[in-house]
Amino acid sequence: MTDKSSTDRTTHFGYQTVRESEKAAKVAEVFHSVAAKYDLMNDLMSGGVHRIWKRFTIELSGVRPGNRVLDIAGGTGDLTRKFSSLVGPTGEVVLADINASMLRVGRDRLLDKGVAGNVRFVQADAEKLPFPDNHFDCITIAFGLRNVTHKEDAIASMLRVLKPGGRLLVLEFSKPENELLSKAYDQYSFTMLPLIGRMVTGDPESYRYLAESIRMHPDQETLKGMMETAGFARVTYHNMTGGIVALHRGIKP
Amino acid sequence: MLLSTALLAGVERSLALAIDQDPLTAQRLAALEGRAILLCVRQPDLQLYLLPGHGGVRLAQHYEYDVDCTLSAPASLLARLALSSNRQQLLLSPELELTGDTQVLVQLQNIFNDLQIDGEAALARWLGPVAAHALGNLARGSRNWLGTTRQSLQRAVGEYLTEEGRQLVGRAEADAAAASIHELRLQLDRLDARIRRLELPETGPDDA
Repeated sequence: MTDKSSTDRTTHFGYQTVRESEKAAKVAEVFHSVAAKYDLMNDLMSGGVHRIWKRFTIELSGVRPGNRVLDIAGGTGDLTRKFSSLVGPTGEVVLADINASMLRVGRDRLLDKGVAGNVRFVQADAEKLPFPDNHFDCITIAFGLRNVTHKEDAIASMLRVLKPGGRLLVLEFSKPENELLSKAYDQYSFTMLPLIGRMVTGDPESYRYLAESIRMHPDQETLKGMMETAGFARVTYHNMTGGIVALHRGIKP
Repeated sequence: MLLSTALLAGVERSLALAIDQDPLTAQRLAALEGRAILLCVRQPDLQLYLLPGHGGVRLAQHYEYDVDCTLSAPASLLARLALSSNRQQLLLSPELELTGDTQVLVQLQNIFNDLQIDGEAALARWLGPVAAHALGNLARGSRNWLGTTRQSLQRAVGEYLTEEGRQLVGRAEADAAAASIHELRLQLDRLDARIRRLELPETGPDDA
């Protein structure tokens, strides 16, 4: 009975409505397709600004030597690399991603850059994190939450594995504050992104999904409310680039 | 916010590149791992955290833990402090406030004073050792020539202004005049203090 109801329930995949059980496989397909050129595409699509968004995330993380950090949907390991140097040899960083292709690219890239010793790679679903309770000092999820089927479950799972006083940082596309910027951003997303995707990866559909999934993602206040409902305290968010991206931060009480 | 973050990222990257050229500096900075210095800049108002550690100095606008040392001063004074060779004098400025463990700041300052960038090694990575050494010799020769020329010019201009043009007095004469003025100022201060004391109404033992 439970199984049947779960297969009947639907969710969004971009602007399409799909069965919940299908979403993870469809998202995986997208990321298998773009994994090899993910970093190049990020630079092209954001004009390099994604590095500044991530740098700000690291600043707000407050990670110190000896900390244990979980980088969910860590992809090609941008944040993990920086966290690895911040936590030092006495700390630990876990790069987790549900997608094997992304994880492989991230692992190879980090090893090529000499990042090893305090980094572990785990293929894991954000909704069912395979870690003990009260385990991490800080968890980050950068541009990953919108691809999760049950966001509430993922947030609850992150709360469970955080230590009391630990921080969750959610870096995600959000809703622009200015109407004019919003219009320009829509134009850019639905015309330029698929075009760049076609030229670089030969896969415009994946980038159409990216634009659509951003529109379907909860806005700043909704996500803040979801984190508070899950049990996070002192939830705040910082809009970046006019609200195109927002960084939410909550503390486990 | 993003602009300042980008600017800090650029400065941090440049510092890291410079520090890469001097392994000793990197080692000395690693010894300061975990220490934090807060720079409170006034006019324009800006807070900047310096976080030395392995691989360089991190620059951040947010830091949630206690800092070891806080240096607060106007931007112009901080710029002079960074560029001047007479830092001790500037550190006594009344506009500058320094609190906490000042040794951390002094250590960081000393590390950067001793930074010796081995540009030849960096060039050798791209051009090979022979070409890099030739360019290095050229750069060193040019720097020495510029240094000697600057000193010579200073001396010649000084001599011309004092001996030929008689526009300025000699250094010894100027020092003697400055000492006399200083002594005169002290005497005037003492005289002023004495006059003020004489002007005070006399107080007898009954008033006490």
